[in-house]
Amino acid sequence: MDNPQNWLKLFQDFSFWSVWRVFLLVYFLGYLIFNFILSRQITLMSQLFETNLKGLLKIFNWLLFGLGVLGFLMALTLG
Amino acid sequence: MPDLYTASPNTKVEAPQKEEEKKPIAKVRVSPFKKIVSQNLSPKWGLAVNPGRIKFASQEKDEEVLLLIRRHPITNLPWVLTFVLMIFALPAAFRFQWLAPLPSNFQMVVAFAWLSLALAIFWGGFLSWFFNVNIVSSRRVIDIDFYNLIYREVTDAEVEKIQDVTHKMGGIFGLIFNYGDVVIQTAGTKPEIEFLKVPRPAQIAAVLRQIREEAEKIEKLNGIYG
Repeated sequence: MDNPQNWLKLFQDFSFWSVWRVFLLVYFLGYLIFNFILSRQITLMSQLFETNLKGLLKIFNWLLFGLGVLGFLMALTLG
Repeated sequence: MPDLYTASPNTKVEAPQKEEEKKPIAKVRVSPFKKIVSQNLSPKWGLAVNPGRIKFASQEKDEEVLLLIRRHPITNLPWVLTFVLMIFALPAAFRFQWLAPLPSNFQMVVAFAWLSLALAIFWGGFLSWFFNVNIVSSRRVIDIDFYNLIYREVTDAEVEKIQDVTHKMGGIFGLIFNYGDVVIQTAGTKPEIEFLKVPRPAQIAAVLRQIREEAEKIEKLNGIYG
């Protein structure tokens, strides 16, 4: 990358759709972090006041997390 | 000295019955707080009256949960509508070819991102409603706030420290669906506890006043006889 020609090549390869791909990757990564935070919050809030829905909430949250992983993999395999 | 009376071995001597056993008294005494709550409020969506199964972290042994209050369900309308519109937009996008300008491999991923965004809005909205809870117990008033899904604030004040209870109602939806804010002034470190957009604010405020009066009476009695 120290060679200026390499930088030039990078810009030549740069396309509108590659930006979209990066955007989608960052989006799904953000989505996964969001879901992980929610999973922690569900655990902590359930300790604060007991709810018998805790298991259900956790399962649904992990389903959404799985959806995020799938989306991230789909964005990763975009050519 | 000769025996005056000798009981035969088959004769059962009945123990004298205790006074308490004779009286047909109710086995479970309803606490005055529970009585106040059940006389003045009925369960509703977002308002659980005397929810026996609910427990919270710092609950003491003799402390009973009288009210579990959440925001009125109608306040969830904005995110529910957003979610529904986003879900309906997805088949419409394929039907009317709104994604046609995108390359074919991108179409599926963008649709997937859209679906996950809709689900994130739904899930965030639901959890925000579910975990924003106000609890009124026989000892305390607790306000659990769940801000932006990341921050939370738990405020509590003893029932005896309640100084003033006011309620605010306003807006078209508030008047139609009977929801509003209940503001509790306390003598504690945090002077105000707010129950926001809760159903039946006037009744909740009235119940809180009665609970405070009852708690004061009990405290006075404890002072005299304790």
